[in-house]
Amino acid sequence: MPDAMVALSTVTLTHNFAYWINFNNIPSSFRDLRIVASYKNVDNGIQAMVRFNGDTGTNYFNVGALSYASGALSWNNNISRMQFVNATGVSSSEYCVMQMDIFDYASTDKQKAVLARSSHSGEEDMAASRWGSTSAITGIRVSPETNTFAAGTTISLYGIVA
Amino acid sequence: MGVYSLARSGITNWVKYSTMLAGNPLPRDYELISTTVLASTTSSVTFSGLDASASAYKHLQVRAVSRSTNSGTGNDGLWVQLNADTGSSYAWHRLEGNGSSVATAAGASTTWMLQGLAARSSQASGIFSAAIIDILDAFSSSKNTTLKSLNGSVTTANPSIAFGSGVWLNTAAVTSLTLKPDAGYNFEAGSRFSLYGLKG
Repeated sequence: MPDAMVALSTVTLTHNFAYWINFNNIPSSFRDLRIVASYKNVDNGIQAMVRFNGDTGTNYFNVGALSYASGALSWNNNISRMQFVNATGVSSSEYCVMQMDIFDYASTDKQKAVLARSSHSGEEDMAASRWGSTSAITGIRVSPETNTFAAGTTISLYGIVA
Repeated sequence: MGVYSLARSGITNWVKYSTMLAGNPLPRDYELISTTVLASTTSSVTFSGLDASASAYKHLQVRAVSRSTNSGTGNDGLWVQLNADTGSSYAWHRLEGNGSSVATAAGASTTWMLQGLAARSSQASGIFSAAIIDILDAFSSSKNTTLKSLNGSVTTANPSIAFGSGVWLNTAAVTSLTLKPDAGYNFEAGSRFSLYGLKG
């Protein structure tokens, strides 16, 4: 019996990278997908963003809760992306971590449900998202909100068997 | 076909095995046990026979997307019961963000554990809630079974993201696991529940 989690692709940046990381031609043979990321931006600020199938429309519905030095809060929005913990204030050698699960990604009768956790030493986030499309996910783009991913950023894609 | 003596067959690179299982595929550490995708409305989903099919695992994980037939606004709960124990044998806790504020909820001496949400049928077609529920040390006979979950529902009026926890106040090994929406309602077709085993 095969392992239920299969590593599909990993990208590790050996230098600062001012663009996005694409996972294309994702096979439809799994049930769910998981993204695991260790990332930071060159300026130690801003967030990582994720989009599906190149969709840059305001088709992502997000709700989150976070805890940080000043307490805890919850937020929600309907914007053009899913977004993860803001790296502002992170020390120069610390990377943010993120794990995102995408459910029934290959279905064509469901809007895509996503659960994610992201954190660094000063903040812990949890978020649920919905991509308002019933299209099967064939591509995922991970990018810095602005500026540049720092060298050492690692982003991996896993398939979870059906 | 003739009968050959292995001692004279000229085999030079042989290896002796002491088990008849030699050559069988090795078990993996994280395995799919079962998936149920509902073709019609269903009151509950049960994974049974876990003592026979899953005793080789240390922990269990449920991955679910669910939707309820409840036509009200918002979300049903996603409730979990173990070993068909219908007694007041459970407790649960929840830390939730609803898009505006963070709040907690809890239950004690309950007959089910709240471990997620199921989007109600009033939501647009195709909207389902999601949950990952971990059942830790599921087959221990000396521990009350503990659960943890990450769950969320991005419905129009009642978005939610939450950590959940639960305990079954019984030290018996888990033999079955049942999930259901709020009382009086059913899961809609398309709801999907997958059970995975994790070796320890």
